[in-house]
Amino acid sequence: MIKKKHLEFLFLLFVFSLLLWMGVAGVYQNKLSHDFPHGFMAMDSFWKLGRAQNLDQTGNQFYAQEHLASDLEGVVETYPPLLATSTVLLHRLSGLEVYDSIFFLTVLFAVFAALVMYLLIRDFNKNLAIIAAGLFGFLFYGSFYIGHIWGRGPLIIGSMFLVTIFWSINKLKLKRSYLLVGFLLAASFLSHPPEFMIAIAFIVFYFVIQLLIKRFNFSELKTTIIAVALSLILSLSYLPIFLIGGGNSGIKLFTVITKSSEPAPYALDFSFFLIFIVIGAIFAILHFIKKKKINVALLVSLFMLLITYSNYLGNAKRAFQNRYFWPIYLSLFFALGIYHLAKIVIKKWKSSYSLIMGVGLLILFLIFFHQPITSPGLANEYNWDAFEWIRAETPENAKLYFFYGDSYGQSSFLSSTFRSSYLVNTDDYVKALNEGKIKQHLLTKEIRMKGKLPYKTGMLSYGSYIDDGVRNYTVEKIEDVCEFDYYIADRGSRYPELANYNILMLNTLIKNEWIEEVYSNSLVVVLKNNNPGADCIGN
Amino acid sequence: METEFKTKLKKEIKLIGLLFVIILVVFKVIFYKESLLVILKTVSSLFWLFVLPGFVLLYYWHQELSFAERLIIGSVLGVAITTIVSYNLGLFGLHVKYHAVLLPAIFLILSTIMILKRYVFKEDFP
Repeated sequence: MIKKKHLEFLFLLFVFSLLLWMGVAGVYQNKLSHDFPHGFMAMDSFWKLGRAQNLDQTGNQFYAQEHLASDLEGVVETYPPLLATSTVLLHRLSGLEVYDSIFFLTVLFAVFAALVMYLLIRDFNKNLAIIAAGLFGFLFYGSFYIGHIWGRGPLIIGSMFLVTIFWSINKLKLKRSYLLVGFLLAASFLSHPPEFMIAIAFIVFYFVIQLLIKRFNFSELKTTIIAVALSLILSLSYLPIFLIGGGNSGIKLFTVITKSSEPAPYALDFSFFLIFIVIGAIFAILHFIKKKKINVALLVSLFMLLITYSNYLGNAKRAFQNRYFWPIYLSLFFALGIYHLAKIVIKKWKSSYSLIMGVGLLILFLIFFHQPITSPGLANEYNWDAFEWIRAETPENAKLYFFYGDSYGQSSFLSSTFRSSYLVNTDDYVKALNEGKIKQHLLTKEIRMKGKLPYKTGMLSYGSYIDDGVRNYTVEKIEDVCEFDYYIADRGSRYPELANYNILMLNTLIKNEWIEEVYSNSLVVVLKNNNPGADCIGN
Repeated sequence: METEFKTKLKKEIKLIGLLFVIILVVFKVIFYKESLLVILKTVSSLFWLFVLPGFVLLYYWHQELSFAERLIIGSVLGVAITTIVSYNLGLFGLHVKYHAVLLPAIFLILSTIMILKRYVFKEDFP
């Protein structure tokens, strides 16, 4: 006979399986291994992939790939390391390709985060936890799913640790809980430092609330201080790197914005589920004021609601990005809303009702909302095959020039060649097309990592090629096409005029006896320039 | 107490085994176009790298935390510990190719020592 605790475990298995299926089955087309990357739909996806591939090849994450560091020697990798680390560990042991491991793990980590939130709410009320799971499906829906397909893996793994930190704050009374909190804090910092900062802000918020309601616990504060110290020790190797380069992500703090510059979740994306969230939030605030008792799950929900609307307070982009996890952070409000409304009709609540609701809501979501993405994304078998050929057959110091390609606009895609890559500016290319000219000098973008290009100068000290004036932040300038070693162009496109212009360009180049075709498939052509610098256009 | 601990441990080892089989089936259903060998390797890797190290480590608090808590939180903690140590070892020059096998094995041994000290030898670490 199935006992109650078994029923709950079965429910969690159901939630785990359903969420994993929603998150990855469509994009992965029900396969784990693929011939080319699936689920990579933006530039960031390929930046993160490149870092993981670099780790896989070199064995560590100290130096950035030279082809992404403007061919400068000793440029230090500034990006937080744990997504790449987890990806490569899984790749090494399972045999899955690096690109298959990375997307799969971001989905799995989001599912883990949902289950951790379940546990946190369960400590408050088991029935609410079960009902709250009904909102988790939104993690892989519409704008909430952007984080996965746009390569926001570090944010996702960081958020998983953040939710687990919230859970661990609820367990500060455990003997030696500083170990738990300390490792999780360090993991959040090494995954995505903004999540670490949110965790620290929450800890401050938690103790301020304790003070305000006169329930201050000095022992908990002591444990937390030890945990923060432990996390800093564990993060020591990355901390100076972050300070010189990783923190410079181009995001302006203290800028108030009301609308995200990229697709981001808004409250109305929850459709009619929003009604329950709003009602639940009101009940949560009333409950908090009435009881004057610390409840971590409630505090977390209120705090993350504030954080995700802090774009109005100057937390610009990060506020919007944290909304990807609204289905987790706001799930308690959702459950409170449903529960209190249902209680109007049902006077005596049974736990079986919660189970029926939890499962029912997930199924409801599945029927009315779930729309699996089945497109693999930017990469296709033809350009990926060409990139593999380039990695295998061209010298490591080769300079590649890319003409227009539909996927190349997300330019970090080109970094998958592992060679110094340059991409023609589409506007300049279209201008040349409209003028009916084949131009030797075109506005061109160097595919390069962001930031200050730091290098090591001492044990824990770093210099910067940008600060030294060796390079500047500008990655786009006029380049002489004839200076490059290889030319890559697509002969098919959404814009047939551009594809035809590519062909015209290739035909012009190949007229030179020192330029030859070295690779082609039904989409991509690669030409080799055996005499870089010689006049290759003839005008 | 010692017998109770051993009985619980045996029961939970069986549960973890059962869970492994269930997850394997779940993966086969989700990725039904994939070969069983790839799925077996992937699920085994996830258990070895993340689930087991964290779960065993959390056994230190097995009286205070439920099985589900140790399993779910343990998996996240497993990701945290394995990747933090792997990152730092890489910087110290040990190639990442050794970490996937080595690190979980070390964590499992260390956690076992810690648990035995607390629950069998009654000598908790300072």
